[in-house]
Amino acid sequence: MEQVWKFRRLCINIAEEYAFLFIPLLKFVLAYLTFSTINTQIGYMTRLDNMFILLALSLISAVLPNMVMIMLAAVLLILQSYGVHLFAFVFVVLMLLLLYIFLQRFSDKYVLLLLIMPLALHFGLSPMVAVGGGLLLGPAALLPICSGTLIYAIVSIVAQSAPAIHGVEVKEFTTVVTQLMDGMMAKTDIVLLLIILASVFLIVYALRRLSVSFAWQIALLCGAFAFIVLLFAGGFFMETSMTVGKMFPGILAAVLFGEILTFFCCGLEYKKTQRIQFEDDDYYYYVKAVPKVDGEYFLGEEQQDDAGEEDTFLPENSSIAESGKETAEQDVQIHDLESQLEETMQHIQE
Amino acid sequence: MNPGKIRRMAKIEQFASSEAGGYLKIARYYRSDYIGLHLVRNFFLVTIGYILLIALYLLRNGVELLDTVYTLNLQGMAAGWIVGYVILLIVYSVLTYALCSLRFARAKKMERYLDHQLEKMQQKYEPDKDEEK
Repeated sequence: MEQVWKFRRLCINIAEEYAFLFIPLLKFVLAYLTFSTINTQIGYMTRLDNMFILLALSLISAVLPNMVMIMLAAVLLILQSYGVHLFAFVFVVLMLLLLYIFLQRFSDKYVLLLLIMPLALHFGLSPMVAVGGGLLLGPAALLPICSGTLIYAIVSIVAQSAPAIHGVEVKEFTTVVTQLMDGMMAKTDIVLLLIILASVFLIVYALRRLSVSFAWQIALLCGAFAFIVLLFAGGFFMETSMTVGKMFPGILAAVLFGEILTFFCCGLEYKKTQRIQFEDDDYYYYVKAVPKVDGEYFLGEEQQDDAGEEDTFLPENSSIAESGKETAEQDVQIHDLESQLEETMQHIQE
Repeated sequence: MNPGKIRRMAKIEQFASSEAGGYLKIARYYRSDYIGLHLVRNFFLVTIGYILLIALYLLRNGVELLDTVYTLNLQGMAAGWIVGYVILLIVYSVLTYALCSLRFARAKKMERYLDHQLEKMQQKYEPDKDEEK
């Protein structure tokens, strides 16, 4: 088992050391996939369907902030829809504006999910994003997940309607608008997916924060189970073409992906869990401390740095400080309790 | 070189330049100014959004509406739209207020945390100040 943890540490070290390479590379891949998917879905503006342009745009997106990638993707989508029809262009612009005004403006975090979510839906891997998001991200990720799903709906409606509306004269705009709007209204699959993805994300997020052993694994499995149950239930109440059979590869991929995330991001030794109890003038504290599997790795470094240093994040001359020192002496790394403790410290100081 | 000080300074810098940095900008406002600004912004955005929604509705149903314009209850329709707008505005204003209050409270908390860390730093740099006094 120790070899496995060593391998994990090696991977994390490599990822941290070469993050300056990996992050732009991943952004490049994401941008390229996004732009090429838009071009293959709605490829009516042939001048944009050029490998050189795609690579150049992806390269720009890789080195500039995330928002640039979002803007470039939006511009590409708008231009491609203009290639389909003038009113497809109007429809896409209006829908994107509405999406921003009524949903996305409340969240400026995790904006890359706006691109990852439609891609995941396109490749049938949407459960992966919901489960992965629930495990790694905060509740603010819910909005980009929903917005991303709606963006996918907009793209797929324009793509589906494109053969019918391309070439229709501008004066017959009602035909185009009716086709697009009715397509939007008929997307019950998207409504169901929206409900399922949001629910799974919230379930996974809520469960992985529980103070129980193997919380991440429990959250992951419950998320996958909830996806299947909600898909079944949705089939009873709504007309949908989605079935468990169709979504099963995605759910399986989500479980595997979740396991990988758990392995790399939540390496805890539950067997060595310690329960610490102490008090000050105002409160009793019941602290559960779960050591990380590679806690000793960091402890070695920190002990060198900390020679002769006290923990300044604890107020001096308080029983908590004493307890804090005790825990440090016991080589315990407190997991998920830092913020709570800091709040308490501030409260006590005040 | 004092590794402890370096570590603490790095931690403070990391904190200020991370997501918390955005919150620290919020903490510079007065609470009422920050929330008021966002409520005004919300008013304009919801108004624009509602106009766009009506534009979409008219694009979809414009021809049918024109065909039946003489039999339509235009006053009732306009009243319905206005009521819809007011409800939407109230809902989004409440949401904006709640969100801004939450963000402001978090920003103040982070500001207090940073102040606390900086005070600790200062104490480390001037350990003998009290003794000199």
